[in-house]
Amino acid sequence: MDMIVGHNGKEWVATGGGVEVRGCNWEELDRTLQQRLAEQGMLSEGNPVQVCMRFDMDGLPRRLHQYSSHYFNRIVRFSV
Amino acid sequence: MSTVNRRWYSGMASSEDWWAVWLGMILFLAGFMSIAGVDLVGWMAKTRTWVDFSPDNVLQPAGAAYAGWGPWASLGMTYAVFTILTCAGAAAMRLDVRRFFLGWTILFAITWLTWIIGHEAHLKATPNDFDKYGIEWGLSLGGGASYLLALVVGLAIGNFVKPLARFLEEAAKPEWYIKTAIVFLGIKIGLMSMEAAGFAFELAMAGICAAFAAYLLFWPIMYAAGRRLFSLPRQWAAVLASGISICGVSAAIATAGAIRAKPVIPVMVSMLIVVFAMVELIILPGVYAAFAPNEPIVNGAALGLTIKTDGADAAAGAILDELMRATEAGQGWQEGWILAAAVMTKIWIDVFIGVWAFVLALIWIYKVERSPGQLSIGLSEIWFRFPKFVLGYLLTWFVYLGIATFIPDLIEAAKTGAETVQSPMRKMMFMLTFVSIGVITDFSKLRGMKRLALLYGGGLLFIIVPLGYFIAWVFHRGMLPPTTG
Repeated sequence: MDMIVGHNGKEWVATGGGVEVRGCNWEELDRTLQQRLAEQGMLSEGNPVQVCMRFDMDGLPRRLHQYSSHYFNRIVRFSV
Repeated sequence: MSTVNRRWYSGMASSEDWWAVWLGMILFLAGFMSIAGVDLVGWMAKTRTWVDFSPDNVLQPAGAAYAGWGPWASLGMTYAVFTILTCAGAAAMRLDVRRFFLGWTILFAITWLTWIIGHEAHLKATPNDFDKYGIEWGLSLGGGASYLLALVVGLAIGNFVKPLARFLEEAAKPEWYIKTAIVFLGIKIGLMSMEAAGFAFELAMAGICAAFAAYLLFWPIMYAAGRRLFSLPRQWAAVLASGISICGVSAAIATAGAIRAKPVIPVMVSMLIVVFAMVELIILPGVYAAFAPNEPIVNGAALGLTIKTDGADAAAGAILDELMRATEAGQGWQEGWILAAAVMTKIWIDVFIGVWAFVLALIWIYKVERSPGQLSIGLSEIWFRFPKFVLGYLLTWFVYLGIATFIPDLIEAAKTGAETVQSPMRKMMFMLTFVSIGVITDFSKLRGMKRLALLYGGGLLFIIVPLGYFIAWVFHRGMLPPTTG
């Protein structure tokens, strides 16, 4: 599953696959996402989900893009 | 619409880094056509050292085939070609093209004006050329006069005419311009390697060793200083340590990304890096030239290890090259080797940032966050962080080295186009870098960053600069640029 992630100044926001989740830190974001995936039936026992969170570079000021065009891609595995 | 990196080719059409390669390669290929007897780049305008001002005295086309064009046609063609290419790049990078075009035009005008003024004989000519120009005194700054003037004008705009600076920001892209210039520099080093392959190899090897030693020493010291002396949180200490120790803003962003830090951290640290790189650019070339006039390569390499943005490092290298060759000791030294020492060391540092960020990401997951099994990192992260302009630099270098090695009969024909690209075109990109880097440097941004600024400034003064010089001395001492003639 592919998601786009950004930071709104207060919390991380991940969107993709019809899901939007937020968290003040990564632990909270992952926990919320895991719950949401389970609620939507996308995550069940024996059916782990791998999520690739790609940082949206538009979240960094344009003047910094000339120094680097990549922030991070974060891969998380969820299982029950 | 979002900007994310999914595939290995992501950003090829839309990032400044790749556009430095495209711009560099287009003009490299145009220059390379001279091996077929066609000069496609000789229209490029070139400055001349002057005493009496007149268009014919200050400008001329670079190629003999275009000698009849005169200064205005040559400058007009230069503006037209570079405007079309850079605006195409700006459109692909989703910049505001209208604003870019207007900003570019103003920067182009400032660049050429300062370049021409800096070539006035009293500013530029070295003492042994005084008779040639009929003058009795001079500042003997060499080409450094134009660079310093461009920098002063840029800084004046960036700090005293802020509305104009904000307007120019869309086109003031020092990293794009300097990376393009470094691709062109590959051609110059290729040409220089034709005559001094052994020295070029030695310089490259010494540079990689120095960069490796600097990686191992700078980062842990600065991280420890941030944590223990200034009680910075882990993420701040790591990002700042990378910024000051490795390759400036790119390293700060790479490290912040590797440890998944909030974007505000690299944004704040980048302000420090840009301002302090400017301070280093202003101070270090003159200091090194004055205190170690007989160690030109050590001085160049030390700049590469201590000045933390590509733009400021290459700009400082260009000033140092000019200042040192204008001294009595440096009269016979070939142009470009001191600059090459500064750039080569820096490029090695840039190249390994992806690997370093990857290692740091692993350390962060396994030792700091302690979440192995849940998180993983793709090897693609190394590629996404690899500085792509280095590919253009190495390609242009090896093409000319290959010609010298395997088809030496083509050397003279290849040089015709290459000389134009590596000299006036490269120098124009350097001049644009000087103006732009001044425009985007606003010293007032340090306000409110007292503690971080103190750590950064103290770290530079007491650790990075002296230790960097020592490392450069260990690996480059005694190396002298090949001499002319």
